[in-house]
Amino acid sequence: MKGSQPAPATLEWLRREVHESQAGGYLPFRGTPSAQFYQTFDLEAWDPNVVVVVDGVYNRMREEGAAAVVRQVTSVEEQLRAVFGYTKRLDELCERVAGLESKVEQVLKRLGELGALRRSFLVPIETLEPEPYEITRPFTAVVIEGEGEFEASIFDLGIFASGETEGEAIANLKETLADTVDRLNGLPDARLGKGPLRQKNLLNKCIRKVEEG
Amino acid sequence: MLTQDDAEAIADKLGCTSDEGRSHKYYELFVDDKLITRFGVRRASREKGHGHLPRELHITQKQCRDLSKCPLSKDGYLQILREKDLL
Repeated sequence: MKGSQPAPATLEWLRREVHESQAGGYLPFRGTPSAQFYQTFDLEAWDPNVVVVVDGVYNRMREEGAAAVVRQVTSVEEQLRAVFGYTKRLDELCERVAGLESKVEQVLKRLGELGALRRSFLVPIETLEPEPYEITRPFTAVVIEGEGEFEASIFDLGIFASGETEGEAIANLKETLADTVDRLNGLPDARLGKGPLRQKNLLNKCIRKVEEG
Repeated sequence: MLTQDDAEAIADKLGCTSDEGRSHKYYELFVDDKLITRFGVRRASREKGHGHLPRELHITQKQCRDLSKCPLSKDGYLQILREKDLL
């Protein structure tokens, strides 16, 4: 072996030297006939530095015989394992970083949503003055700050209004309440659909018109 | 922001009649001569917000915009009310 011209340990050389039947898309690496081992490596991920190491092993085998190379081959295997192990760990790390990035984006988005959450507060409705109505069952309006406006709602009674300020929204709500009572009581039940009929019955349980004079 | 223009576009699409209130104008939808829904418009600047419209119409904000801007038809709206047992 000594003195013979070693073939360069290129990827092409490795392709020729390996067991073709086992190659497939991967490269099984062979040691010596007496101490064979096989290890699969992704050809696409083959590192040129590894080829240099293999080249050294090849030369040593030619110069010092196969027995001396077994230890070196073991060393190469360890180095290859280290190289591919590092790549695998790097891939895992990248995946974890990508996962964290995604989570951070979700948290930031949620924080933005929380910042944009609409402020809301409750306003007890105790009177409709100066309108001639008496509230027989007190109820509460919910005022929500919206896009440049305030929305006032009495959900149970199906009464809703808007205003530029909280006060205006509540005033509009009371007015809508009075208008709705007037309108629904002005229509016979036969002309009211399911929703308005239910609304009329509820309103009449909570509000009573006060006869003037 | 939903405005008076949106409310009027919806009223026009649904074929609503109108009813005058104290300082609001109300649009009413009758189906088979029965009042189905009613929504109010402030007689003020056309740019003022009418964020209460979706709730009065029993639909979402998006459906309300769709009703105003075209994608949601009157039949589509009535179907939504049927699904909510309001028609």
